[in-house]
Amino acid sequence: MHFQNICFLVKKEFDTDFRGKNALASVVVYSLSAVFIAYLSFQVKRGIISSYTWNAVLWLIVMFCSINAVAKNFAQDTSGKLLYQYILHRPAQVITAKILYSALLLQFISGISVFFYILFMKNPIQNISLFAANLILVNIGLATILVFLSSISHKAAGGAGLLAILAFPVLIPVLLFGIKISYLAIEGVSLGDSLKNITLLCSIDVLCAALVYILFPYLWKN
Amino acid sequence: MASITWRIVSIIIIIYSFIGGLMFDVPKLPILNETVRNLYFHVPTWFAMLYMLGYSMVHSIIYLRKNNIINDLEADESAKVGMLFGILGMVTGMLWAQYTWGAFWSGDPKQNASAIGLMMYAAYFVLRNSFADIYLRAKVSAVYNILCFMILIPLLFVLPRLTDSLHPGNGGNPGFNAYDLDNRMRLIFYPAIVGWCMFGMWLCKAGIKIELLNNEYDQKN
Repeated sequence: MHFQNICFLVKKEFDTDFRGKNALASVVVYSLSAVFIAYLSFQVKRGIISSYTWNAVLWLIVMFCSINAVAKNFAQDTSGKLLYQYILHRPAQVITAKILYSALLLQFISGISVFFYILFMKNPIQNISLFAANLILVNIGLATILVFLSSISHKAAGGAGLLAILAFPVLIPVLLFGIKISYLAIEGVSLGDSLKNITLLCSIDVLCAALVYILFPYLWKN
Repeated sequence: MASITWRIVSIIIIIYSFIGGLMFDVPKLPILNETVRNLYFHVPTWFAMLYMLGYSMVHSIIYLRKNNIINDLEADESAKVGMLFGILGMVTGMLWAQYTWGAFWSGDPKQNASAIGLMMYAAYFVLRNSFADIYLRAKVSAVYNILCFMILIPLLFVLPRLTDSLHPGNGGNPGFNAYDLDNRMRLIFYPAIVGWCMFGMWLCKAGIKIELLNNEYDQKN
């Protein structure tokens, strides 16, 4: 596992995404419009929706934005380009770089979504640091699973629709803990009291990462 | 001959578990009362489901190592049978829950987790149907199958134990082993598990045979 190679691959992912600015902009617009629809459909007069509803809608928006953001990951590489990549680097390095880049991208996108969401729907969060830590951990889990499944749906030529079908049930364990911890953060539970849930979320992340690391090398070669 | 023997044995065991399960004496427990008999039908179907899905995963791993298309067929058919048992387990569990917990669906962690599990395998079948090339299909679906099973195990056995579950044996509720599973019940419960697993294997092998005959027929015409 060469660290330099991975850095190079992460930079390559970054360059491909930011060369055409519309890819990233479309995801930002997507999240903004999703938040605005939620805002309009609730007709938020301060304090009407409960923190349960606030939490549920936020996570739905974050999940759909993440799926949209990561779906393009393999689709924009032509098979020739991918083959070239696999000759130069080991598949484990390619997937690690893609996961790292997607995790960073998702931090950015979910950050923007949460910012807009709080802007429109007020801010009931009492323990901000727990909320942020939870968001980071969930995004790592989402990135791991979604990158792997997008490579599967890319193989099946099924596009984003197939990715969504494959991803929803597999994402649920991660989201379940994300939603639970985020609710604790809204209620103002301290970091120490929610340590058990955070450890479990971390262990699910590690389990998914280990599975992806083992299984991806079987997937790429034709 | 041997293959016919174990098929007959599985049928005999299942008939025994039906007759015994409905007729024999059961311990009288509060709330559960006679519904405790569901132990002979609901729990063995879940065991059989796990057995079939585990079998499916093992064949997926063998496929990735050996690249023999018959393993892919085994994985596919056993996952189908596992799904069938999953649905049966879900239905029997929901009927039981109506009379003991008071609702068909009460959002119990284990109930939710098994619904998620069934959705994952439904996605597996959707994935299988979106390929034209059978070798690519075999490889990609084997990878997804392994991922599904590995996520299913913590979902069904680790997470429900950490929260409050209504299921016996979870979240502080006493398990069947604690005091209520007495020896009379074991006499039917354990054979029922073995019987359903054997029956599942039979269905799986029959499915493979049908699939192979179909392929043969397609090649001739």
